[in-house]
Amino acid sequence: MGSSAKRKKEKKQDFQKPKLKVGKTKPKAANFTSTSFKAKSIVLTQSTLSTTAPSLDAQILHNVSLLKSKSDSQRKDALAFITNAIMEHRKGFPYQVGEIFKEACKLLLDRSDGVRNELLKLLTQLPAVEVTIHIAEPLLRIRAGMTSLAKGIRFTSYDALIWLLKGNGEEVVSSVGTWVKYLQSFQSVFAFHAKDPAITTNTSGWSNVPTSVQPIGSNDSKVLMKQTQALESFLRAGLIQSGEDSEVLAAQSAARSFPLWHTEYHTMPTRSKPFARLNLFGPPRSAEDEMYDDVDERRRVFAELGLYRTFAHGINTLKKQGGEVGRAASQVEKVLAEGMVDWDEDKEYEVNF
Amino acid sequence: MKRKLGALEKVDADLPNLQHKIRNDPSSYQDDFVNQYSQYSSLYELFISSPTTTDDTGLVRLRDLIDFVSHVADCYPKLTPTFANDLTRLLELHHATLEAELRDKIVTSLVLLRRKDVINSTALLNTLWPLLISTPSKSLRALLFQKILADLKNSNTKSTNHKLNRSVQTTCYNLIAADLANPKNLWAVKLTREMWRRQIWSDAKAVSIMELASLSHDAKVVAAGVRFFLGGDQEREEAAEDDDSDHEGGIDIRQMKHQAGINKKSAKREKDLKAAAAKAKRKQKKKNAPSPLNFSALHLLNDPQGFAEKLFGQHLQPSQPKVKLNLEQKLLVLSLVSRLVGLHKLTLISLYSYFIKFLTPKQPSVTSFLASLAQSTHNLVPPDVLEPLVQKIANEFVSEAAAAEVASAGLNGIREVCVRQPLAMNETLLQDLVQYRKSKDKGVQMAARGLLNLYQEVGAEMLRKRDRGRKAALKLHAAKEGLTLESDARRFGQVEEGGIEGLELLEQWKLEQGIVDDEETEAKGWENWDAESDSSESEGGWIDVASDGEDIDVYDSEDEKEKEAKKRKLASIDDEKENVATDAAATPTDTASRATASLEPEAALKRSLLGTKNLLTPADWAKLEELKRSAAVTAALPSAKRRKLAEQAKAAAQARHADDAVTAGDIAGLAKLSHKSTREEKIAMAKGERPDENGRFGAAGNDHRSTTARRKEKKESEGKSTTNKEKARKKNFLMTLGKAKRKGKMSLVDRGKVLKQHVDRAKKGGRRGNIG
Repeated sequence: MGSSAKRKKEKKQDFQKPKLKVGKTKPKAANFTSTSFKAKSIVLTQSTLSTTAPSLDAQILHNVSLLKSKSDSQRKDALAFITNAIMEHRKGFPYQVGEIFKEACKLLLDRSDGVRNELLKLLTQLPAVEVTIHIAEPLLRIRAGMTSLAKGIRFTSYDALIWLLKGNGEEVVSSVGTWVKYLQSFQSVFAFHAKDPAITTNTSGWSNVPTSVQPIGSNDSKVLMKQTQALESFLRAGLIQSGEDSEVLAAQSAARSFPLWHTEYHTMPTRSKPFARLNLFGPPRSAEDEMYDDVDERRRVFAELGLYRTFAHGINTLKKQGGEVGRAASQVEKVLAEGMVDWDEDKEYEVNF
Repeated sequence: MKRKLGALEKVDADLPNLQHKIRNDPSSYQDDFVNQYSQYSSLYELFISSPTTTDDTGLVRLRDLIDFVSHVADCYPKLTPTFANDLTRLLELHHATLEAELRDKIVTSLVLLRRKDVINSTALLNTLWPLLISTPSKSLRALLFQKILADLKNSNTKSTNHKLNRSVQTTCYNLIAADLANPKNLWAVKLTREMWRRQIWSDAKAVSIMELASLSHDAKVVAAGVRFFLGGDQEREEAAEDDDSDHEGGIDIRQMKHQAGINKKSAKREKDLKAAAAKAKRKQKKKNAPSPLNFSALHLLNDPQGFAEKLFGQHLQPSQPKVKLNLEQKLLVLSLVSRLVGLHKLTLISLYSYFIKFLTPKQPSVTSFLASLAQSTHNLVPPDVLEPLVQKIANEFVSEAAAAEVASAGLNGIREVCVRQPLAMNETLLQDLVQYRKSKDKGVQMAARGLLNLYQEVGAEMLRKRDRGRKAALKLHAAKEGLTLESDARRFGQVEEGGIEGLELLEQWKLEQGIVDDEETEAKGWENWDAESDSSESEGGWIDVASDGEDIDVYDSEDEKEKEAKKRKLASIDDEKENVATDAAATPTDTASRATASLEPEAALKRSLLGTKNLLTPADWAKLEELKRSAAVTAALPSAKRRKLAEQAKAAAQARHADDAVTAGDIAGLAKLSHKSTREEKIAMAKGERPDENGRFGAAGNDHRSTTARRKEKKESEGKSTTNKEKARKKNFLMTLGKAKRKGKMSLVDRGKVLKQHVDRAKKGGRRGNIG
């Protein structure tokens, strides 16, 4: 009996109406669900409200800071704004272009296609002279992007590389660790294989299929095309003497600023990391890390590491594919021939590092 | 080849997928790996060039690539020679500023590389250990400690990796030895303790680390080191037991078999069942295997005397010690010192005078001090050092005016001291203390009785005549008559000689059988043994070393009297032998009946001389075994059994293992009896509430709830609701009416049917049967 009486009471309670009283808050219903929540921060969509428009300087500063934003569209919009600002105010641009370049290049590996495309647009607007001093870091990023699994990032990287080489070719190929490492990266993306047994690992077993020329995205001729173009401009910048000799250039500049002597040593440096060659603080460099700022030196390394032969062979095979890629490959071949024209091919170079 | 690349194209930026493919076929995907590795290396360079300013995307990418490369690095050892070094360098240089997730990933990647045998354990531990000491991050420390432990454990699974263990132990030792005041030494202690608990380290080197830690200059390290000595071995045993029980709980083979009977049969299930059975069998085998013999940490100490002296001299004795320890830590140290003194029978005279000032009822946790005192007492402590302490306890604790709890604790403490060194008591004090067995309080009464029982055993002549008890009085009497060799009045430093169990039974039997130990019988005893043995012993036969005539006498004026008694006794035994020999020949049946009945009392009184005169022959041993067995049978008879049980219990209480510690609980144990619970406490106990912080009521076994309430709790804890009985009891009365009415109206045939069904059901074992 006990339990049934209890149940009756419980049942009765279900049908009782709550009494409402004046001046008291309404009791919560039994099925009331709390919709309140806790948040660490509340983001307001409109964060600044002002009657007067901010100055261009402030706007650019703001947009540069927005490049680090978490939202894709915000980054993209910021890039677009900066691009427009540079286009409109070519003369008297209130902000250091180099700084913008430095910040923007962090987006080279951005996961959003839109942002990267916008970045490329911005890059084309930047004057080549201004960015020279900041290219060390972007070069690393571009090299990382070249071998990325994502096709879009690879594409952007090649575009950026081509753009950089156009304006600062000499600077790119002569900076620390660029020449050899880039060539190696190209070698791996094209899957050019050296005959050197040290690099191929496991030769035992039947699964060792000779992977001749089947680079990543081989079925995507667009990327391959871009890749080949990038290689062409890279080799051109590295192997072919641009303009006059450096001594002649030095003499010319000296003649320009005649009464002054060694002016360039007293002004701000025009290249990035001007003392990198001395390698004052880093560990000793290997052949890969060394900087080669002379064409002949670059040629020598190119041949000595066996890269020349590998590339020549690889490009030759690539050329045979024909079509657009084949044409681009023949351009590369031409550059190779022009660059290494006075190089003795038959001589055997063995370099162990 | 083409197909594979095509598949990879689809999943675009999917590193795990590539990783999987590489694992399956490393040589085909080498180009892809090279690409990713070069991407990793450029990102790594980027990070190294500006460790603090690298943006989020770069970090995430680097983290993913590190993860990827470390998973497949073992497939391309020639392409990734510097990878592990890179990670180590990154961690060493930038661990303080690295983003937490990347940092943890690097640590786990290094461990992964170790598991894949890319690097060795020493390299890994040499990276992780300095980090553990130097990093300011708590979460990293936790991770590193866990990884270090896991790695040490893994490298010791198949066989003990002595080289690695030694190097890590040396690292730990050197860490502490380099700077004794460094609070980071705690990590060395923690590691050692954990390894000890898992029985990976169980050698003297680990103990020496802890020894050094106990003598260090940081309070926490000292406490940790001391705690290890006090509880490390127990912890180790518990861990081992836990392991065993875990394995038992792992697979329930019966349950699996049952389910296999019910569920759908499939090849996989059958295989699972077989695997489980094999596993269970292996476990069983492992369980039955003898457990490895492990020495306790206290026994592995190199120089216990030196250690105890240093501990005492450094932490307890000086008024301004180098390390400021609080009372709890001091008690730990004291407990360790006294444990060492008691266990190894060390001589540390200044320790006892140290106790004096703490032996007052007002002293916090005085029972611990009493326990330590008892622990530090052993039979080689001079009684005149202990006497003032016993006197002080008696004066301070045991009086009519003192609270019952205090008095019982004091009496108990005195008893524990006197168990170990009976000479610490003088006659007047003992007689005074024994009077407390008439106390009205149960706790005091029992404590006093304990003391009385003790002295009835070890020093009855100090008691008053009427307190001595029958057995002790008889013994005393016998001693006075000169019947026994031993006199109960022990002297300081006297050591009991060892004996052979059941030897007196053999002697008795020989006496009764009339066997005289001469050359002939002895030779006979050796006969069979020689045939059976594969001995390569000397052929010259056995030489009696101690024949009857050649007793080596050492003259000592004090021993003179005892010797007299001994001689007299020997003579009497010889007489007896002759008498019995003639008797035995006349009435063999009589001796047989005596053989069992007479064994015990006489055997108890005499000390056998048999083993001291002759070598026991194999025949003697065989007989001894037989006699022991028959004596055991006699002892199993109901009347003897009760006596034996009582004696066993007493022996167990007195002869606790020397390794076991005396705890404050032992001293205060009887005080609980003196406590009267208040009304509130009684109510709480009846309700089954948990005891409060003071632990005043409702100790674990003290459940005052009704049987029903306890049963209900048990059911609930098993996840069941109510018993059938309870359901029947709670059933609505009106519902039972109908059935009762129907039962009344049942015809005789129906009733018969119902009864028959009931019987059948009972046979079957219930409605569902008894199968499941």
